[in-house]
Amino acid sequence: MKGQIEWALVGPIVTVGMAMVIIIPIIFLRVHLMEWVKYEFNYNNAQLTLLTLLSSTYEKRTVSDIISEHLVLKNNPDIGKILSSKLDKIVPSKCYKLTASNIALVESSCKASKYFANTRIVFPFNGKEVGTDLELVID
Amino acid sequence: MVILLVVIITAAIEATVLTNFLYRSESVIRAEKETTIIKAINIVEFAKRSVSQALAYSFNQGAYDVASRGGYFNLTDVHSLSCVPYWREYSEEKYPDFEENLKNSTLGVFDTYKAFLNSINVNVPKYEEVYINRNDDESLTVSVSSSENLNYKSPAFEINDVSDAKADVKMKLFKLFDVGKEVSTQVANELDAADSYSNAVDKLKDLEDSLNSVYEKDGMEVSLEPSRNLGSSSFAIRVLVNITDKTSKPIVYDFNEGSVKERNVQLNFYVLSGKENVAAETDECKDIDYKKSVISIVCSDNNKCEENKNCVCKISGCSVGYIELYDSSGKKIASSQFSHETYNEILSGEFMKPKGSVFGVKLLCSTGVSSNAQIEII
Repeated sequence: MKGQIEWALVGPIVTVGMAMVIIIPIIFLRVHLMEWVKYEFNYNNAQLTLLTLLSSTYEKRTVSDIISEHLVLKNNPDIGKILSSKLDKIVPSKCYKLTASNIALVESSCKASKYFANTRIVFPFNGKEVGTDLELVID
Repeated sequence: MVILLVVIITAAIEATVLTNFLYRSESVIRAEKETTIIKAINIVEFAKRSVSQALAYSFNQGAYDVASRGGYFNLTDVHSLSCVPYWREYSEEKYPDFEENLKNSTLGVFDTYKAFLNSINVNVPKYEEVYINRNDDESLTVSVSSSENLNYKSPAFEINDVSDAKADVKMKLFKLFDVGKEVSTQVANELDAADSYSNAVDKLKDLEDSLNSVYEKDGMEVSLEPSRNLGSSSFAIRVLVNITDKTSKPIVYDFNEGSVKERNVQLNFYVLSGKENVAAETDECKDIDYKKSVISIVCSDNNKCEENKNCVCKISGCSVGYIELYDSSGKKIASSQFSHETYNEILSGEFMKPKGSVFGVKLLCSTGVSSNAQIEII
């Protein structure tokens, strides 16, 4: 009787074991993909934020022009104010940092470190550099 | 019987769970594909924005250079002195094809941006045509077109978008040229009517005052600068005419001064006339080579170098100089001299670590200009 019960358990155990062998990799794959999608979604949001910032205007001029001209001439003392007034509206967490060639153009009081977006921004013709990298970090 | 029942129930549960996972995984995979496509669309949008911005800057620079060279881009076939052409020598008038020269100079400057624009991961085609549409006296729309598309390629998909770009420019460029033609004729008439050198100089002063009172309302300033008397028996004068558009001040590079700043666009040309015929004094004017004046460095694919592997950097506009590598704290960790025509320089793999770190690369050209790039180790 005891031997019969033991044999009876082998079937379900084997079946459950086989099921696990199939299911566990799928669970891992799904978890990995979910994480990937979550990261990509937030990366896209950061990218979209950067695109929105560069396309927005301040006193009839695009922010991308204002940034480019400032990086070439270093002549706009209000650049930080202009950028923070824009980023405060489009970054819900209000945590951001915008850098160009490793120099911070604007940085919020809270430190942003989660999502990065970057692009390259062109300069007015200046006989030296054609443009530089622009990076936005938001939380 | 019991065993069979347990097996069937377990199999049914497994089938349900498996179907559920497969269905949900399918959704997740689709979402992953969609986000990757959105990311690519954003990259293409960044590229399109940059192309329009580069076009506006190219036109500003091209317009400044062509205007300061009297409407010419190439001065090899015309009489010129210090890169300022003669529009009129006595009764002989010679005007440039202003619009055509503007188009050529715009394309010349725009070409310098191409390598940089391509490094955004989007293939920006070579633009063949520039169109200038005069909206009114004060503004114009510049556009470029190419037979090829803007192209983004990933292993899974490809995005093609029209490559045409346009930019609105506030500049009284054609008005400047039209005024220049009128002024050229009036200066020649005044010189023809004068009976002596001093009389001609007085007449030019009066004409300058009168022209400024007429064109002040258009935001233009006219300056007439007479030369010394070039004649020996009677008089001949070479007049340098400068007409400045005071209404706009684009950021441009001046090749004579070697500096960049906000400058008014100024049309310059000479008028030579008088009672005595003298040959126009001329000298050679070299063409502007925009590409030579700009240097850039892009490492590997979009400045992303692989960990522990040599990273190839493409240099443009500089064949002799130094490359310096800086860590994230700004400390110089390596420097190498290069002197070659291949425009490729390799950053040693020993520095390319750890993954995720960021380095600064500085290109110092022997001509004195420099360019920076930021590389990320992946």
